[in-house]
Amino acid sequence: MRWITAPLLGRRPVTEFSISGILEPEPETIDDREPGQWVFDRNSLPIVRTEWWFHPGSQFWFLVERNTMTDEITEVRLARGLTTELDRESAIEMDSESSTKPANELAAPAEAGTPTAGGSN
Amino acid sequence: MSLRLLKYGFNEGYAEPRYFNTPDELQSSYDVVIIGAGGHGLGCAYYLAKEHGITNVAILDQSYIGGGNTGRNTTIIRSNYLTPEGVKFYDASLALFKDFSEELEFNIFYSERGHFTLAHSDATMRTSRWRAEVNKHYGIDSEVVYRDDIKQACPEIDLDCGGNHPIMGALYHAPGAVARHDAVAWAYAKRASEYGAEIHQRTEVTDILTNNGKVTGVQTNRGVINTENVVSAVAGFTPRVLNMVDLKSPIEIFPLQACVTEPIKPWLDTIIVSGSLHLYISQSSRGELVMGASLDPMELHDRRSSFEFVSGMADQILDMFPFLSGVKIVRQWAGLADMTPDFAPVMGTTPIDGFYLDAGWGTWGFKATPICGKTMAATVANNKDHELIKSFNLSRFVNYELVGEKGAASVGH
Repeated sequence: MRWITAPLLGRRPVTEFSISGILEPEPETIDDREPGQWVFDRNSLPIVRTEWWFHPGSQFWFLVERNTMTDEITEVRLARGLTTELDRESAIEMDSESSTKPANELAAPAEAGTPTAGGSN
Repeated sequence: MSLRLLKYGFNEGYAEPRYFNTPDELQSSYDVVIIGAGGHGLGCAYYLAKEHGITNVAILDQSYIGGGNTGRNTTIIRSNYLTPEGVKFYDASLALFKDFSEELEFNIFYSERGHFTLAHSDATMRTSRWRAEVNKHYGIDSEVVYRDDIKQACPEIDLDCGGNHPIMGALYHAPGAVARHDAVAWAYAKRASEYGAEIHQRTEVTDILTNNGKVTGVQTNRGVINTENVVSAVAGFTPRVLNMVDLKSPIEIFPLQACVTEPIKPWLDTIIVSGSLHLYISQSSRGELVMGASLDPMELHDRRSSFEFVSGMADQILDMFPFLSGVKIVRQWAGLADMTPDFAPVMGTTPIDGFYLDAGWGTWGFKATPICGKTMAATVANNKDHELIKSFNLSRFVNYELVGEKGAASVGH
């Protein structure tokens, strides 16, 4: 069995988690792309990427950095409090510190009056 | 070993015939270059030669023929799908499979077993009835059966699955079959090669050259080939090939694992599948149980095997067949499944002129091998999608014309 070490949980079997895909910022505009492309297109190449992992037992969300070629996990962070737009933005900023892209290219602007995605906890 | 046999073995006049030619050098140009020497790619080469007279064809593979998903699936052939597009397509494939051994003069050990898709809930029973009606409408032998029928066909089954997931009934598809999967690739390789197609193994395509939205050639680890037509039939490597021509697709790569047990006495002459338990099982002609489960939960481009798969699958299979607890698993492996959001393939022409795609074969590709070869060959020869694959074009996602095929195996739905 494969085990991963997560903050607050310690060492847990990988089968306890459910994996919900890549941490991906929403684009500022989709005018330059067909909406269908934005909805469906994936860039499923072997890369190092950050994914949303959920642990149903504890109801914690984690951000896991994983290499999709080697399956190597390089970082597991708690994603608590990252479910609002503002928090997501800061998460993406945090995430982009190590990448080459500037944060303003990645982060979606939080529009005034827009309901937040999900509830904050 | 007798001396005579030894002498016979060393006599070059009686050398073991090769299945296909292995030219040393690549030519500088071909009419069509097919990437991926699996059943689909080789089938396409065979039909290009046989039905369209196009024989100046190269089939390139980064590894060896039939070494990808063609040799890694669980060899099940059936046509009891859910959507009209799917049913028509897979039934045409099944018809070609039935005549395969005779047409290609190559025994693929096609064996009709009957195929049960078990239902453990009202919801699955409802889908089974729906599927049966769609199937019957298109003239396919498919019906809903109940517990007694299942017990009669397979007396060893525990209908209550240990009390955890009682079986309510099943969708029964009498023409469901298994076949020797490697032989399918070998047969197409042999016949395509006889027509003049060249098979180049260990030849990796590193780039596809285009000019003004038209294909002009491919770059390989053995040099550049000029060609105006490229067919990509690379399953789990599709995103990497699409990246060479700057195309995006909804395809995501997940490993799909399978395993076989040690050979045991024949006891299972049907194919048993349970979508709810993520399980399929059949017994090979050698007596091994061939078993598979659902996709791995995370995207991955590596064919590693995992203990999580084999322990999870054993847990479910022992609910259904408790007497297998003493049987040992001797081999497990993985293939890279190119999954699409609607569980239907992505086939045909693309926005790049001369670049044809045969992908999105996820967990359902083997049973479609002959019809894929045939329809892709027609698509390449006419530069126009074949009638049977029109609804599988890459453009369906932009146009919101998804197929919604929920008759696929090993996926949760």
